[in-house]
Amino acid sequence: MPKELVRATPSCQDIAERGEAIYGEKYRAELEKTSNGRFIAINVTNGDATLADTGEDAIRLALEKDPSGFFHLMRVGHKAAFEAGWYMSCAR
Amino acid sequence: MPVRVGSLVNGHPYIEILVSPDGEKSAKQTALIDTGFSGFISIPIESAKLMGLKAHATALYTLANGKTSSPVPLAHGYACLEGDPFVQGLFSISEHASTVVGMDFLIRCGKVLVIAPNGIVTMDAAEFEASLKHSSALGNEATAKAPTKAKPNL
Repeated sequence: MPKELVRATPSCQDIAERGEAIYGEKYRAELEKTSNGRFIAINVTNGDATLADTGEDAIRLALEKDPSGFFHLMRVGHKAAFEAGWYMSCAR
Repeated sequence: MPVRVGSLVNGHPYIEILVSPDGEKSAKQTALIDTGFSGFISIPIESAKLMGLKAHATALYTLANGKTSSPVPLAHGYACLEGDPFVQGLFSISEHASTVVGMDFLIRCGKVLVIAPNGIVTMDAAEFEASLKHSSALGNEATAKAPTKAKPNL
């Protein structure tokens, strides 16, 4: 198979970095005025964004558009999509 | 009706849940309830592999100290309390040893959680709301019927 047809699986770090960069470049300015608190799934392969009221809806709708896509989930106006409790923050 | 679904272990609340990749085949897991976790379920990577969960996405978490986590893989899956229908949600696939259920799980399951000294009790949120209205109505009725105290003559 030609090398260019092989789709490499990006790492979590790559997906997240690309997603954060696309959000900053294309979506942040507009969405932080209009959609604070909603969830956005960024397709890092084509830059598309899917907005929904829950993270689960955003990812599900994004997967319907592109079942083979890689997505980074964010919450508009927040540093992170979710809050971790004590266990997830501290346990090893 | 309130149902006992778990227990306190070393002061931490645990419940039994069913997890599934497709809403059909399922496995029982003992999960820590963490009301500070805003997500659905966090599951150890070994359990996720056994279940056949496939990560489609990543997300960051705000940690308890205010810092941001490294990216965490996310997968669609199903979970429920035993005897209840499955609900769909996002599983965080973690490097921790325990399965953790968060607020999104309780909300999607429509459950009220009561952490009592001798166990963990859940009841349907709708039933809880109805019982609150009923006790509030009873309270109003009792207040209306209660004799008013005579003011002392000073």
